[in-house]
Amino acid sequence: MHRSRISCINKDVLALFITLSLSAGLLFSNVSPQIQQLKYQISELCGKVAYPVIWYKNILSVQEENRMLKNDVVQLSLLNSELESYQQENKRLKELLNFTAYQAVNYQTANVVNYHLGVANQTIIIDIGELDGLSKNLPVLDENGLLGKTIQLSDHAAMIQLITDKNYRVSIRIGKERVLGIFIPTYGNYGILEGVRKTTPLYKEEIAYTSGISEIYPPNIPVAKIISISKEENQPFQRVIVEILGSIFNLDFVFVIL
Amino acid sequence: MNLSIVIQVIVLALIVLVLQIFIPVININGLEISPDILIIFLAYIGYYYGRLETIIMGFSLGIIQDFVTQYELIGIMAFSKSLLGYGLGTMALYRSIWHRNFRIFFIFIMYLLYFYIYNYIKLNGTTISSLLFIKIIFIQAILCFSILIIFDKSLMKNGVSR
Repeated sequence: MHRSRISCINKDVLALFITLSLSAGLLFSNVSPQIQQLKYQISELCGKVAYPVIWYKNILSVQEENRMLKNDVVQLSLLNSELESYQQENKRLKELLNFTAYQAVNYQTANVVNYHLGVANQTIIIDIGELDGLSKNLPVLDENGLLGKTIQLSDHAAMIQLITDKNYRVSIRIGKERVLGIFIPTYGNYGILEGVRKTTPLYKEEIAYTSGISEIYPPNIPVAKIISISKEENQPFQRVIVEILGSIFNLDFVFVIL
Repeated sequence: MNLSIVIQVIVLALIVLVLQIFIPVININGLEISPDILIIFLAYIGYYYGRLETIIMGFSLGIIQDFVTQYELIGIMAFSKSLLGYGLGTMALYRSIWHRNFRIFFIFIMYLLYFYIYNYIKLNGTTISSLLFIKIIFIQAILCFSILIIFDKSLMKNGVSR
């Protein structure tokens, strides 16, 4: 009798569970605002109910994270002390070679107010000019890389010749050997590096920086990255195709190095 | 439950369902309320047959009512009536133990709970005061409960209030 009572109760509960599941499934398949609100309330309730579990898990994960971070701290402090010794050594060697100290770059921020992206000539106008301290042939860049140089000035505006302009050239250094080359724009966001010897080892994604030889550009401004390299037997130089790093077609503001 | 009783119950359920469709809307204090006579029928099923039968009946009637009366909240009646069926089916387990007054009180509480769940889902997300919400629940529960008592006293020989 006891067993039949239990099975009877179980049958009832099972029937209730099945009917409630079916009706809840139907109910939650609706998209009415009441159901959306109800879903939100249920999820909020579940969040509150599950909070202690999540809190406990977080504590465990924080402990684990803390242990890993402590490990990292030890490793990084070792690395740091090594780097500090390198820095001291570098300073001492520079002093021995009479190197001049690095000068911080002084620049001005300007908004781009107009574009002229013709087939041959590509320029932009910025909202600072001569009275703001600008002069001709100042390098212009954005946060990604070189954009061009100032070519014409008025009191409160300046015209910038973009790196994609057909007449634009810039001397660069590339590779581990830091060999010299000339960047020449070709089409759109792309260009080529001329004058890079075949023997120079180059790899894709390597970045070409301004060489510092020119009077206009300071050294080490990122210009472009390599996207393809080919070597032809009859040519003394490599054919290096590069992609310009500066966001030429999405300019908002630029930096002019003074 | 043998087959003839099952058929009788189903026929009765269909009659009650048809009656429910034609039942008029009553205006009480500006609130338009339609009495749910299906829950009165469920009270008798719960009293005479038990939980399983009442749950199944509640779910079946609820789902038919859902598809017939509205489209925005399909499943609300089936959900609330299944729960009500479980509650009302308890009466069969304690038929000989519970006093009739307690049984009547229990039915009223079940009706209140039913209308609370139903209206909680139906009025969820709408700006309605708690007082009005409680008022709606009580009016609906009292209305259905009154119909049950009147019906039971006047027509049933061995009803829930005897």
